Parts: sequence; structure tokens; C-alpha cells
Amino acid sequence: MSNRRRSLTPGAAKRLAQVATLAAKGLWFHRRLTLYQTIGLAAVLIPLLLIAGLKNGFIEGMLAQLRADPRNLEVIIVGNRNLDGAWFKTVSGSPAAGFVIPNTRSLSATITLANEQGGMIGDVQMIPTAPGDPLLGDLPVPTTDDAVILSEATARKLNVKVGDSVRGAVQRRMNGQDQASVQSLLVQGIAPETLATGDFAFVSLRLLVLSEDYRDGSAESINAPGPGDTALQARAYASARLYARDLDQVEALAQAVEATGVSVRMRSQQIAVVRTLDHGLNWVAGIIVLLGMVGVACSIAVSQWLGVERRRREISVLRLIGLTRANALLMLLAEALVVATSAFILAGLVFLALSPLADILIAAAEIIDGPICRLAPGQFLLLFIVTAIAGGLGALLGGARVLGIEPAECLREA
Amino acid sequence: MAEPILVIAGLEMQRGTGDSNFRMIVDRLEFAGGQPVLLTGENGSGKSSLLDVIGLVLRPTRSALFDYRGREGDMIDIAALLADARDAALTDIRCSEIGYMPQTGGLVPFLSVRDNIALPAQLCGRLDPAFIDQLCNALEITPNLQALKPQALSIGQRQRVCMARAFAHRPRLLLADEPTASLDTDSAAVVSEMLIEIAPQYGITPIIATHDPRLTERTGARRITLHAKAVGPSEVECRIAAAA
Repeated sequence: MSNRRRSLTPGAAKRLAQVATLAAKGLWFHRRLTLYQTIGLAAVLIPLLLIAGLKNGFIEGMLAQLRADPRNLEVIIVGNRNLDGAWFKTVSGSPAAGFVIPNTRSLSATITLANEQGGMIGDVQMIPTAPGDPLLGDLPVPTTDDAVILSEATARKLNVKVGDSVRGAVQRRMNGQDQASVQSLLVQGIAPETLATGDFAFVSLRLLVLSEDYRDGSAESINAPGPGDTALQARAYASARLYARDLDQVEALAQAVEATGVSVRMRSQQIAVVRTLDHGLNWVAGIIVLLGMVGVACSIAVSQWLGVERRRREISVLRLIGLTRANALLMLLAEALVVATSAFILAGLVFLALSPLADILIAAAEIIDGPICRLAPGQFLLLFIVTAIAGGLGALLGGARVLGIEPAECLREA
Repeated sequence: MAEPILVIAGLEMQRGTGDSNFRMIVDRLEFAGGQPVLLTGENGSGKSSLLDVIGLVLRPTRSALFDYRGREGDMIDIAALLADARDAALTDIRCSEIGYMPQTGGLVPFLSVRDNIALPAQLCGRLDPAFIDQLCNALEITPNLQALKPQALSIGQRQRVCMARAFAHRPRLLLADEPTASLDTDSAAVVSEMLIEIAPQYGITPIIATHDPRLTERTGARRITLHAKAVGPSEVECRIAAAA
């Protein structure tokens, strides 16, 4: 005699489908109750979605504003250093680094520019540039050593446009004599105000190095051939222009540079402010969502608790004719998940309807551009998963009594 | 006597505590396959308890032998499953091998009549719509009636639906507890005929607890009469001797 027989009933997957069908039919039969329960849960979920959406939209909006300005990517080296080729290799190799180019002492990086009519501005700051310079965006970087990109303000003062020539002069005092070296420069582009505010000239690194060498007396003029690429790389520089790959990497880049013993500061203090704000608001929103989920779980637990008592007899019948204890609990779990899912969909639709209203109401404050109340699909999904878990826990908690229902209970009147 | 479908021996069942104790002792009881059985006896003589033990919904306190013959002639050791409290395995057997006909009610309110009848057959994977049609025909459960929810049915109609459900998955045993008690003469006649005459034709062995003469006066059923007697100030005992 053996109890090792093939199972008399169909497989687990089929049973799962049967239990789900029973749950669906039960919900439909009690559809009025189901509807009220769904609306009740949605009423808990809607404010949660709105708060998460506001937090998200607010922080995302502020970050978007920071992202829109490439200057926020900059990490600034404090003071003049002695940075060699090895240092540049290290920093460029950091995964946080987006754009790295050597720079000279700022005092020796000025040039006097004059137009053909004799108009002139002194002390235009030369900025070394190369392909990939985030400040130049889509502008073509100077391809030759006698090309230059002027800031909008400078171009306006000199009354020049793209394609015009300007004369650049670097002055020095040597052996008691004032000297100057002059080079004709082609205006290859004009950088908009949003990228560079003030008098700036973006030049090739070689022209900048030549200017410094000329001031130091180690070069005869600024239109000499200058050092080759290898020499430029091997040289030590007083400073560098450093930009992170993206906004999230600015702090990482700053840390990477600090690790080499070079003090830095971030151009934008706002990044840290937004991060702190984000962190704090995450906590607040997290607590509110958590409390809401406790509400979801308790609401489902109570309705299941009462439901089990109300449906004691029918559950007993189902147990009698073939549902195991686990099946019965699974049926309650399936019901709770359907209700939680419907409530979430309802809450999501209400959120989508209400969020433009929040955008309109708050947009007047002009704190940030763009939508103020919004959730990304991934955030919807995360909140849905949390809701489903809360609903499932509530169902298990409230429905656990179903395990105590005996199949014999339905056989005769109590 | 045909091959036994169920053999019970050395079984004890205790119910109640303190002031009113009921004890049932079964020395030996065999049920022949296809032979309808009527359990009779006064109220409180233990008919329902015996039915529940056979129906695997009441755990005996002790069972030396509790063998059930499965569909393929193999013997299933229920005593071992009970001892190990194998809920899933016992549910499996209940679902597949036993049909129940409760005293009253016992239908799932949220399923249509048709779905109620089909449910056990679906759960054990033996759904046979043609057979269900046949049953509904025999029990006068019209297609209109099949679409309704149980709450819309009369008591008599509900009992007939319960009967169809108990047949639909072609169980080996059919347990009915006072199936005709709340029925009018016509319905009682249909139910009695289904149980005593029709069930064995489908290989179903009905075991019926009843004291309704409309059932007991039919021929062709084996009758087991239970007697309970007081054995102490608060103790009632029902003993089924080997010769019963």
C-alpha cells in the first residue's frame, strides 16, 4: 500500500488560474463593495501620488535648470599650482571628468583686442579651448592658432561679427622697455551671453601658452610657431579648466581632484543645496508614503477580516469541494491585489488629471520652468509595487482567519 | 458482496468536552463499491459524525485502519494521511473522489448555478459539459435556472443543484446528510431516485444519513442503524460492532 500516487487534481498553474477566476467572480458578485473599497483606497493613494509628484517635479525642475547651464559643471582649482602631464592624465582618467584642458595663470592670460576701426578693449580674458568644451556647446572650436571665439559682449564692444578679423596684442615689460606682440585673429564664432558673461576670448592652448611665454620672455612673439603638441602635453601648468561629465558627477570630480592634493571649489553651490533639499524631501515624502501604505494595508486587512466572517460558509464550501487552506488564502490575496491594482489605476488617472492643474497653479510662482507635478513611469511602477505589497500584506493579515475555516462547517446548519 | 471501496477498523472519534461528551467507536465497517448505504438512527446517534469522518472533514482521534480504494484499484492509506495531517493530500482526495450534499445550502453564492455544478469537476480536472447537461436534464435544472445565482432559487431547487454538483465530477463516494429533509414530495422523489438508483450506475457509492421514510422505504440500499447509549453521567457512546 502506498500513498505515492500521481496527483488526482490538475497542476499548480491551472489551480492558480482557477483560484484567480473564483476571486474575480467573487469580486464581481460583490461589485458594489468592491467599488467602494477601490474608491476608498484610491482616496488614500491620490494624495500620495500628488506629493511624490510635487517632490519629484520640484527637484527635477531645479536640477533641469542647473543642467541647462554648462557652467555648473565646472570644478575650479583654487590658486596657482604646478600641474604636470601625469596630473592631467590622472584627472582626465577619472570617470567623472567630462572636459579637462590646461590653463595658465589667470594674470598672464589677458590680451588686448582691437578692431579695424581702431576700437579697442584691454584685459580680455583668454580661455583655452578644445573640441568638447561644454561652454562652447555646438560652436566650432578654433581650429588654428589664429582663430578665436569671442564672447557676445566683447564682439559687441568691438563691433565685429563672425568672419571679421581683430588684432590681438600681448604686452610685456622687458629690460625696462614696454614691448608688445601683435597677431591678427579671425573671429570664428561668437559665444552667447548664456555661456560666457563678460569679456572672453576662447583661443587654442598653443596661443595661450605662447602669450605666457612671451610675457615671461621665453618667446620672441605670439605669432611664433610655438611648442609642438608633445611639448604642450609635457609642460607644467598653473591651473586647468575642469568640467564634470554631468551634474551628478560634479562632486565626484571635485573629490577626484582633491585626492591629488589640489584644492578645488565647485562653481555652483546650488548643486549641494538641491541635493540636500532632495534628500530631505525624500525623507518627508517617504514617511508620507509609508503612512499611506499602512493605511492601504489596514484598510484591506479590515475588509478581509470582516469578509472572511461574512463569507465563512461559502469559503467552507469551497474548502469542502476542493480548495486547500493555501488556495483559500490565495483567493483572498488575489482579491486584494485586484482591488489594490484597480485603486492604483484609478488614483493614477486622477493624478494625471490633477497634475496639470498643480502645474498651472504653481507655475505662477516662477520658481522653476516646466511641469511641477509629475512622475516618471519608473516611479509609478515603484509606487504600484509598494501599493501591491501593502495590499498583499493587509490581505494576509486580515485573511489569515480563513485558515481556521473547516470544510465541515457548511455541511449542516450551526 | 462487491469489492469494498472503504474499510474502517479500530476507529475512535470524540466530540465535545466537559458536560456532554460524544464518543464513536467503529470496530470494523466495510462499504461495498456501488452499494447504496443508508445511515439511520435517532438524532444524536452519530450519523453525521460518521459521515464527516468518512468525508475526511472530521479527524478521528484514532484509526487503526482507514483504507480507501482509489479509481485505479489502488488502496489509499487515509489513516496515515490523517496522522500526518496532510491537508493538501486530504483535500485532493475530497476534491476528486467524494461528492458532498449538505443538509441545506452549501452553494457558492457568487457563482451561477451552472458554475456551481461545474466547480468540483473543474477543480479536479474532470469537467464533462455533456455529463453536466445530462444531470441538469435529469434533475430538471433548466438552462434558465443554470444562469441564475443560488440566491434566486427555491430550497428544493438548491438541493437539486447540490445533487448535480455532487455528481458532476463522478466521485467514487457521495455523502448526503438528510438530503430530503427540507424537500417537498416531488423533489424528494427525484433526489431519492438519483441517490439510490442512478448513482450506482455511474460507479458512485452513496452513503446517506437520513430518517426520512421517503428514503428508508426504498429498496436496494443497505441500512446501518446507529444506536447511542449513555455510558456515564455526561458520556454518550455509539459503537458500531464488526457485524453491523
